[in-house]
Amino acid sequence: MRVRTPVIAVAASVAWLASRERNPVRWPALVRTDLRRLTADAREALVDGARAGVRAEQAFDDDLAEARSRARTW
Amino acid sequence: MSWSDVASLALAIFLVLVGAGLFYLFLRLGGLFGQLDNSVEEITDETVPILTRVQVTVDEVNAQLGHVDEIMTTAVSATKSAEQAASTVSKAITAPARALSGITASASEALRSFRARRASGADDAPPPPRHESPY
Repeated sequence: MRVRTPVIAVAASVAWLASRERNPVRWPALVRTDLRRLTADAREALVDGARAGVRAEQAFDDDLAEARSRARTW
Repeated sequence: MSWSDVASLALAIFLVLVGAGLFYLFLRLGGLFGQLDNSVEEITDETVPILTRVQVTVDEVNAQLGHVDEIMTTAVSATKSAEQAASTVSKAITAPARALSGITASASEALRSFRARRASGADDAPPPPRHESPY
């Protein structure tokens, strides 16, 4: 007997929601809340990542400038 | 014999002596000029070949200096070419390396920050502490 993947996904989702909240009426609100948190976390993580990228590029430029200044004194 | 005759005789003797002295002087002078002529000829005969050799040497030195000039020009050109090549390679490598460094740091920091926020959110704790980036 072959079980289709969508059936497994739906069953897993229902099980996960049931473990979070027994009342199915509150599941949409629960999903919305989780999605909002997930979106907010992802957005803030991307902002942090962008800032870290800018700092890394600045550090790269500083290291490169230092290496070039050392090379000029050879 | 009067005093006038004595004076004339003395003058004649003086003139004869002066003439003899001048003759001897011109004779020695002629010999001196002859030696001088010989010396000048010898110097000329010896100096001209030396000058010819010096001219040949200077010509060869000039030719060698021309070669050195060509070598220096080639060396300067090679140095400029090497500098341009190094600059081109540096520019070609620096920009991708810089972008890769930024992207890597950005992705790493974003993933770390996302995991920290999700972990603190799963615990239902107050807002997560500010994550300190290593960059």
